[in-house]
Amino acid sequence: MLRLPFRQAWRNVIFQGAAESFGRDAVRWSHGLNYLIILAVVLFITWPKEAFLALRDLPFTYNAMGGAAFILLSYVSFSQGSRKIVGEERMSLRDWLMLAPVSADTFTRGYLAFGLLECVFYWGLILPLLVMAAGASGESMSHAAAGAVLILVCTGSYRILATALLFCLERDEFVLYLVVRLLYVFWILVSGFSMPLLNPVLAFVDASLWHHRHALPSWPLLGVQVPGWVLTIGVHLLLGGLFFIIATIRIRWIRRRAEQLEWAMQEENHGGLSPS
Amino acid sequence: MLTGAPMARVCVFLILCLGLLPRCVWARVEMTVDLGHQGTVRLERWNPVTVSLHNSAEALSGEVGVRVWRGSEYRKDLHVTTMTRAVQLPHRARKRFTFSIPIASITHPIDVFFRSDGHVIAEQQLNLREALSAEYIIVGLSRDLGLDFLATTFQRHTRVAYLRLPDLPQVWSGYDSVTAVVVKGVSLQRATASQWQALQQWLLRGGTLVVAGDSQYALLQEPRLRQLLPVEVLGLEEVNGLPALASHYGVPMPAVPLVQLRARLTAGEVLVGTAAAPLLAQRALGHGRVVFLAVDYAAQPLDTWPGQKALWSDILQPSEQVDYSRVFAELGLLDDSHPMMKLLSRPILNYPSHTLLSLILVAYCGSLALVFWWMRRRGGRRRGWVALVATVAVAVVGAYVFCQERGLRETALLYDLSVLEVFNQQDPREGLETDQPNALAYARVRGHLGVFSPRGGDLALTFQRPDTILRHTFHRGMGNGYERLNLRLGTATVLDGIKLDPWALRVMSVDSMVPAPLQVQTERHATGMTIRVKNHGTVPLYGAMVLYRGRLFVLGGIAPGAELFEDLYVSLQSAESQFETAWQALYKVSGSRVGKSDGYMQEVLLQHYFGEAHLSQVSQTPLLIGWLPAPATLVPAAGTPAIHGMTLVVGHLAPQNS
Repeated sequence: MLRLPFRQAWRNVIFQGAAESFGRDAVRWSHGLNYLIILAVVLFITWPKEAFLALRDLPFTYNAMGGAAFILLSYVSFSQGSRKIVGEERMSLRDWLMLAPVSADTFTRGYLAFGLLECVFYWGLILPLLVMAAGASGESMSHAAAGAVLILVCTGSYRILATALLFCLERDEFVLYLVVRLLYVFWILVSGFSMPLLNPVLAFVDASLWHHRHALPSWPLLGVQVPGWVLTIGVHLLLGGLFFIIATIRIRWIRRRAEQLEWAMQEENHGGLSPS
Repeated sequence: MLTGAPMARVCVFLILCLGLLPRCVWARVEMTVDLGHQGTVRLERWNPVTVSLHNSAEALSGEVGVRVWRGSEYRKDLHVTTMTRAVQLPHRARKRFTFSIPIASITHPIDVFFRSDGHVIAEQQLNLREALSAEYIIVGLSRDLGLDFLATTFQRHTRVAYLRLPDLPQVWSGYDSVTAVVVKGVSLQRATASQWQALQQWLLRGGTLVVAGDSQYALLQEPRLRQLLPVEVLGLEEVNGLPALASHYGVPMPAVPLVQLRARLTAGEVLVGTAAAPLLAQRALGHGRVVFLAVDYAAQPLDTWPGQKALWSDILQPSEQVDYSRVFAELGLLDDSHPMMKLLSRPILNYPSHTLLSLILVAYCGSLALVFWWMRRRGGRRRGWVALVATVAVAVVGAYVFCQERGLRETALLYDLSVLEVFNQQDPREGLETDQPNALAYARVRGHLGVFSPRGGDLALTFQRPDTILRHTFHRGMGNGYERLNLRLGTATVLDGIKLDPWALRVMSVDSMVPAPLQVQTERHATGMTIRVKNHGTVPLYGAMVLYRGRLFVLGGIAPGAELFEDLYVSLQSAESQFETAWQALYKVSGSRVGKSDGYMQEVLLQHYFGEAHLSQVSQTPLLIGWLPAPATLVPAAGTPAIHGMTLVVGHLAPQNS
């Protein structure tokens, strides 16, 4: 039951192709390693210098680590998501879809599944650092697990969002570049002031010991008080789902347009060759 | 209108419904509460509350409890302590329970309740504004009311409570509000074992027992009193007046015939009279005193003698000074100098070092780089991905195992720093060679407890002694320490309901009495003294040393059941620096031989006990110092985090002359 979607994804030609090229792409490995080294430096700097139990200050290491991971990983998700991973850089998706023998849904699912796999790759790299930071800050493993899930869900949804934007704005690269960066700044920085429940960094803090100091508002749902960080996960899942639908619709539309264009060209060719 | 069969059905239905009601609905329990000693309480002290329950309905089980408010709303440290005791009340049972409760002020009332199955069946609120309060409470154990004059003798507000023998407290804390106990014409042999133990323990802690003579001199020859008295009572004699007393106080006394006890001094000192015929004698017992008066204070001519005030001032030696340390502690002014706060200001945590961290990070990043290089060469095959996942998984497990502060991983960090003050009251009639355990061998344990919860939770602490009292508590930290504590009294005293938010600390000071784990006997000789220490406990005593005349004599460790016999020669031992503080000198000897964590605990305990006093100030009387590397207040229990315990053993030695 659980293996079925994974098996389907593995059989997806788009996913297979992207994964194969990812395996050979030294630049991606280098990105991953650089990003890990930056986080290792953050961990080293924020590691407790003295063994005092500061009663008036909550430990900082874990949240610094989480915040830095969010800032970097969200940027990676936005920027990598808005870049093509199949076909030629200069070839439009419409042209590519006209030439490729895959359905619109296969293309969308494969494309997004690979994007999420890349997210999981980057996310997996930081897990040991997150566990170390949690151990130094007195955080329980359940807190660390909640933080890890938050990072995965939020960065995954940003990846889907960025990919959907790529599908919609691929013709105008400058607008795409601008919109993606603006959204990144909004989600990581501006939302913290205007809509705290959307902010992943605040949600990460809320799922840690700092909850008692900087708690996100919790909402009653079916008689249960749902913590703020769970609501943030919910919002990001909705966001990911919404942009998955947008991406699917857009690809189907592109595919239909491509088919219409193909028919029109065939008709034109056919008409040109007719004896009349 | 229902008649006949329908009516009968309704009646049966109602009876069935009533049968389903809980038993507590039918319960009829009468509760009477007596506060203090005959209604008198002393503020800033622990006072007895006696709850009598009479169950006139069917058998019940439940708990009787007393709820006390402490702290101040102004300081935002108001907290409620509920002391409960499990109760079985058979049909027509009448039972009596005594609690010792702290009364710091008259602001908040005291709630007394009996509840069963969660329902309160009887309840009473004691308004302390209406209670009688006094600064001195003197308990009289006599057949007459001859102590009434004491109510007006001293400047401080004094009350005399005449108690019957069965009403005497069963635990030492019941005497906490009592200034002195005066015994005359009453046999203490009839007191129960627990009452006798409570009286002895209170004496050792600083109480005053006055034993006055009357015609029933044989009562003073009974084993219990004979053990305590500074004299040996030989018999009675008739005298004409008490010229020694009159001349001592400079107040003439009519020369009327009266009965005086014939005695001879065996311990302590004579205040009036001679060693062969003491009239007034006293003996120090731990921090307390036992005073012997050879005549009946209520008989002619003493009852109307104008020198009574001076005589009783000598007998009771009332301190006119307020115990500021106790008041300051109750007001929370000493909270920041609490040993637990001092301990937590030291680097007690054990994080992996930056060097280890950097090695781990380099190893992790390096192995990932290797895997990536290999995958690039081999073209990202399945084995490469497996190696990648395995590297991350091993790193996660390694991080969890090696890169943790283990204390912060536990539910709570629990510290028990105790000072165990041994009262080894050596009987002067016994020599150094005796092997009999001393009947007065008790120790006072002052426990300083700290519970720090990194992630919050509910905790319960079990105390080693059922008579442990919670003197003072407060909380610190980022989180809140909830203000409702429940002390369950029984065969074991359990403090539960310690609810803490994450990153919160609750600090407690507790007090109890235990049988002394050490038997110490000392004898002074021309060049020093001889000491014999036997360890009766189950924990080895280590770092034992004697501090005497500014010198430190290291005795070493004493295993459980082992005995140490040592001659200490003052002239041979080099003198320590007299300008050095006592705690520093002792820490140099003991603290350097233990681990970092134990060293901090020892340092804090020594600082707390000796303060900034110099060696010369604390070593006029010989002092035995040692360490028990175990908690002396708390019991490790299932579900309780590991207890980091250290106990400082202190014994004030009173060597006999050889």
